[in-house]
Amino acid sequence: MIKQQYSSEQLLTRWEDRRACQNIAGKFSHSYVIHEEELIYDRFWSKRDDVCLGFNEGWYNGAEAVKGYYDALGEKKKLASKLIRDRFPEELAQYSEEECAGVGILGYKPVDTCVLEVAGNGETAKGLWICRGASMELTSCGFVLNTEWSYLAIDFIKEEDGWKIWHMKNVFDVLTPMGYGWAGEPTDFTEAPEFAPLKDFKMPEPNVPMKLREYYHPMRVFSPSPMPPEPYYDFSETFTYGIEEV
Amino acid sequence: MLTFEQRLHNALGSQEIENIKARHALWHGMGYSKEEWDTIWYKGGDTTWGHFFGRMVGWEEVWSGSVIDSDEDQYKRFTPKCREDMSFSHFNLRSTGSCGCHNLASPVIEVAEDGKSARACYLTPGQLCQGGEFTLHSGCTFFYERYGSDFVYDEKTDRWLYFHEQVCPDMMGSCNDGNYGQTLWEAAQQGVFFRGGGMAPNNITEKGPLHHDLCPVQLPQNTAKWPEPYRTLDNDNTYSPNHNDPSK
Amino acid sequence: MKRMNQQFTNDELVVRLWDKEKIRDLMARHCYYYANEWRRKELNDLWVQRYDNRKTASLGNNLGYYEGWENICSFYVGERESQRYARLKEYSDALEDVEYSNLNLGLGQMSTHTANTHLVELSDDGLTAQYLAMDSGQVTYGHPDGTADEYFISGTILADLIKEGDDWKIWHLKIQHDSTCSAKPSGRKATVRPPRPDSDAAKGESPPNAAPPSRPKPKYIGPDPVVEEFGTPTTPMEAYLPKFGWAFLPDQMPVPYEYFDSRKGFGPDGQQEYVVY
Repeated sequence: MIKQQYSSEQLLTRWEDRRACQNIAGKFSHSYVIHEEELIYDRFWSKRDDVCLGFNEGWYNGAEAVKGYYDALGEKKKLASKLIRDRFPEELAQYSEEECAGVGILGYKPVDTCVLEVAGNGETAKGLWICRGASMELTSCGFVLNTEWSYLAIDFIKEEDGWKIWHMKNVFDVLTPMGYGWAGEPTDFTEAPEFAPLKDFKMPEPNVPMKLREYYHPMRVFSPSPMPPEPYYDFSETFTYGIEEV
Repeated sequence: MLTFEQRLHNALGSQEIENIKARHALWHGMGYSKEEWDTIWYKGGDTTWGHFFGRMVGWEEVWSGSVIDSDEDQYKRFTPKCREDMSFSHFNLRSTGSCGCHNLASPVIEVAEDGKSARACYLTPGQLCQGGEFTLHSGCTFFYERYGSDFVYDEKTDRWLYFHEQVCPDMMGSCNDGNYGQTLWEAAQQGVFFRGGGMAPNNITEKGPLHHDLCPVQLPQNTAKWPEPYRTLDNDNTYSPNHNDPSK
Repeated sequence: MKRMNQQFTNDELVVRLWDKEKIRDLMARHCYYYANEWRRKELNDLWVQRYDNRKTASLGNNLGYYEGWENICSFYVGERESQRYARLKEYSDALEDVEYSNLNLGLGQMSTHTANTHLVELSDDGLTAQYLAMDSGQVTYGHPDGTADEYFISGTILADLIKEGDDWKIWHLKIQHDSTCSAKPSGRKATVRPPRPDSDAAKGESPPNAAPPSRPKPKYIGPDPVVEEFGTPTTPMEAYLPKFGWAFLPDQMPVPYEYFDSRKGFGPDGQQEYVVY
């Protein structure tokens, strides 16, 4: 890319664009903490049909699939909340189902180590973050705190109502119960029959299944992070964090 | 529509807030309470600091709870250390061996349209690690917290200063002594719930609790929601309701 | 702190605004390159390129400093590769189908290095900057028997940056490593203890507040594999002693400054002495 020269006004606008994208990543992250993960699609994603969301097992490709994923997070939260409310009637019967949505569970997806590039033409942006998370989840063995080490890579697009997420890839090295390392497995969890219905709940499968990344194991080949973004002018000049990545 | 100068002022302010937050976190992690509160805070009647236990209001109360009480704690912990090993006494007792990593992540920062205040929300995936002779050890503590912070711009000194802080602790436990979720679950099955801990300062104007640690029956909390673009600091845009007047 | 902004024009302030962002990006890139073992690429892309800056460049860690470009390259790239081959040998010796070749370097290994809580200050003359951040990550070493050594790591990164043309480059980098904590089970079990009936925690709240969960006391368990990989610096010294924690960090935190002074930098000239009578 030929080095661009920008006026002070242009530089200031580009800085504001950068801050706007960082704020979106921050709000995306905070959404889990305040139990509003099912609202992430409506709030932060572009409504284009070429959106896609990738995890280790593949892509949710297209608006319907992406929305479906976040809707399912909401359903999972509802089920967990109902089971917890039923389990602790003394403490929780006084509260409605809505008030209890998200009781006892919490997702922390803090993101840092940001590298962010705004396109020279100001129409798109790309960012890469590290996520060192922990999520308190309800499982069929009761409450389990999971450790997460993952990368969050986002292509943003500027639309009339502001910056939006266009493509997102959240690939994990580690997602395991805390306290056992990430190559080991817990051996002392006991099944809790009151939470057995959770075993029947399944998140929707990616509609474009493919292995984007292996979870860590001691025989895993060395796996670098997703590529940090490089300066670019137009999106056609750079790689995508979306489904067409080669 | 803001002018170029106003936008530039707000952009520089937003950037400076990141530096202030970092200084605060670093000084706090090393037990440097006097520096943490003396250098970067607005010393007014509406300055507040909130935690799970409530909110300290006014500069003197914040100073008393955050510096004097904290220093007393630090010295009580580290003076015996010096008696065990005199080499510690050649360094500042408050920071020796102390490494509280209040890592700042997921920033959401907004500067008011009027350029007189700013608001920021962060998450921390924190770690308490102990410096020692041998750096390899088993036994460290994780903690996850949220921070909501308000700042004001002091025109006289051309500086941004901390005005309000709301700390929302969610989880704190051992990385190695079993699974924290299972620890809470086992206790909950006995009807025992941990809602929030630690020492409350001696003087608090607004008694809490303002926030609870996560436990199996803890309802969702939005104690420090992210800031949205806003015009000026007021009760709809603050982390400390009814304390928004820097002139006090 | 000084009143910085009054002395700059708006155009200069915009440049400085962007300079700080570029530095944050640069140091975040360092973290990715470091964890990805893109060491040569890191030196080529992120570090100083000018001959005079390379002469005075340095890479520091707890054990001392590598001074000058040749010494940095020799350790950062050359010695690192030897370390990686040494780890691969464990696999190739134990497993017939694992070839002892560059294609298998890093087998079973993983690391994450972060840069957060960053503090950046530019010099008044706009030619240098100082940077400090926390690095709270992990390193993991696998073994051919299917086990792994997994560690949480913690430390700080300090850097002097210098502007070469329009680009910011790493000039002096210092890694101050605080702790390596095993992620494995300790054998102990944390508990939540019920409050004493007369305690403050038992009053008022519903359900009543228990005492905080028990927390571990660190148990020191041996030589640190992270520190072992710091090699033998060409200028060995007690550059950082974790025993004394962040004793020097208050003085190391970047503050606004006029022009670069190596005595206040993060190279060997700026090293504070651990004076203990």
